[in-house]
Amino acid sequence: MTDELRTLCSATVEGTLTPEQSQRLEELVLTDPATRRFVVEYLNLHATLKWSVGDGAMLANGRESSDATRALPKPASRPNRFVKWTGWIVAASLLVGVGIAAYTRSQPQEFARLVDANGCKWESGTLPTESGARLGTGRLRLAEGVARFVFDNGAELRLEGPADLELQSGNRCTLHAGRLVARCPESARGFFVETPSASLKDLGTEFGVSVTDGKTSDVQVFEGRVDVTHGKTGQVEQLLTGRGMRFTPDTATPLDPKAEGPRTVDETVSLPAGQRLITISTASGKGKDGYVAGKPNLLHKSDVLLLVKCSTPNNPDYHRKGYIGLDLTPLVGTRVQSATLTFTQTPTGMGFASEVPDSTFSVYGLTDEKLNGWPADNMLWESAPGNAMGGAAVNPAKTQLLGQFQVRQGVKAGVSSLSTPELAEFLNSRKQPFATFILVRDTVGSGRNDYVHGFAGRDHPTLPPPTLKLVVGGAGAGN
Amino acid sequence: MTDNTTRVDEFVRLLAQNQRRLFVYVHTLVPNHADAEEVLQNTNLVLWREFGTFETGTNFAAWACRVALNQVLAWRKKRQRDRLQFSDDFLAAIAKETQDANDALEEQSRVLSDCLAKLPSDQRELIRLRYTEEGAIEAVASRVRRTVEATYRALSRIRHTLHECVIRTLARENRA
Repeated sequence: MTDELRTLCSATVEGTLTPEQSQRLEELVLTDPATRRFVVEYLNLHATLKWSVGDGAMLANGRESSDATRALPKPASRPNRFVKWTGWIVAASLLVGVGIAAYTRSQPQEFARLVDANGCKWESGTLPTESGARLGTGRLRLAEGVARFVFDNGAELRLEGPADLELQSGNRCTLHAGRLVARCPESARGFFVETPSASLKDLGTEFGVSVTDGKTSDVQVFEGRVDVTHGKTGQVEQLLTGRGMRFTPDTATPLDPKAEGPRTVDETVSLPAGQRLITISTASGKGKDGYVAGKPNLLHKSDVLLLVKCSTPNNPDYHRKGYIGLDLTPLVGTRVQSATLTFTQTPTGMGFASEVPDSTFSVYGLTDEKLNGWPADNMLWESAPGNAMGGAAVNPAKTQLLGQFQVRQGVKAGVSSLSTPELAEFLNSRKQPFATFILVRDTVGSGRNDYVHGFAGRDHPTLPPPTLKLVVGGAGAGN
Repeated sequence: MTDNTTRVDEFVRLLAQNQRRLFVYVHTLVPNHADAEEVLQNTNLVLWREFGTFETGTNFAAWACRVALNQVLAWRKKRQRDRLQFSDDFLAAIAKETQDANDALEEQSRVLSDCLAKLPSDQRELIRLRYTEEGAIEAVASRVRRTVEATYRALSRIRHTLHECVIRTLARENRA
């Protein structure tokens, strides 16, 4: 092959192609099969080198041993990359159901921005909910207000509460419930909005969609064109300006938006027969909450907040861990189907948030029920139940990890929650009608007066305390 | 729960079996490593999400590559604001050729390790730096105390050597 082609290929893989070079390469590839083959072989070589050398396994070995056959080991012997590739999937699937905490944690890529969330109230979700937040994959539940999102490709969504929206990628989202208006400029042609009964492909337009009772989607095109694929039949409807259609799981019928009647019940929450919702907070029954610090009587303390901080190992005095006690009496004789534990964060004014990176918080359940009688005030580090040395450590013999959530750097307010099968199972396996949870920050701060996170406790004057929302009953009730 | 666990197991097994193929495929279409990683992550996500529509017993690799190609196209679209290097036609031609030549390319990947082992140690080191460091060619150049220009030329030469070696090795195998 020619020197010219080698030069072009080299520039391609090193990203140094000039526009003229790239045009020349296109020309060669599109007209000459032999060149096309050469280029593909070259790119394949580049890709294979990245795969096999990439994590350092191969040539590091290669230098020490002459056993070159080890250079391209079989996939099974590549635990590192395997874990990297599939670890998050396994994690996500272990937290089946809503368990998106792990999902988001390992999907750091962001592709949209929550531009405006003024006056919005949010329910438990897995994404940040403050105005200006960058968003990646995850789920948002808007209780009230209108939130405006702008995707990097230019697509704009206005979501009206109550609504349940899942962001999947830079050009796809799923509206599980509620209403949204999408406006897609030319750059966002092909933006998808999925609903339970149909898939909407935007072709440069503005349209509204409303999902009711978890399965019916009403689509109205304000301007432009939307292609809607009916989920069950696969039939594609081309909707033009001014047209509307209703998609149920089985049918697709023209829609007269003026005929829309008022709604009598909140249809965004519907539970199967026999199941009901129970809410328990640290302010109900014998509930209690507090926190423990490495050193008692620290100057910085709070009566209304649960303070949480993982300090550097040489500053153990400043470690703080939250304790949450919930009175489970309302659950006696029922079976928990799913559970969500929610914390409301609020600024503490203690330390510099820029000295703490994006943080992971872990929630542990106290398995040793003899220790449930802890004091909410003036708890001591040494006697705090299930505690261990270290800013994020707990005693593994007396506790069980139930889930994690993330708080981005600098975010000092908002709602964080976790909803895992482990949490529901933990609640079901309590013998006493009481549960103790420990909240720790796994992420270590810089040690330079780094921020202390704070979550509203039961005595907070305005914000909700740590709260469990539970779906109980249904199959297996009375266990 | 059991059904779901089985399905998860199946997915993880299939992805593990095909991860190299998928990785190489995406890297072939998107030579920049960071970009390719991004596309791969999106691909994984879609594969997992759409796994319900995948029929057990059919060709997972082919399905995964189709999904990956769509992700590459979607990613390019997103990047439209940046300077686009190649046309969709070009990418389609490369994607098709990659699939058509899959068996031959797999063979080439297989013997590449032998060819790497035959390189003089300084060249092998250069390849190692280039393909392990996240950094660009500048970082490699400063590590080996050469100019960027010289490093660039050296890497280009080494890749050429490797390609020739791969072709020669396979030709010899076929004669044997």
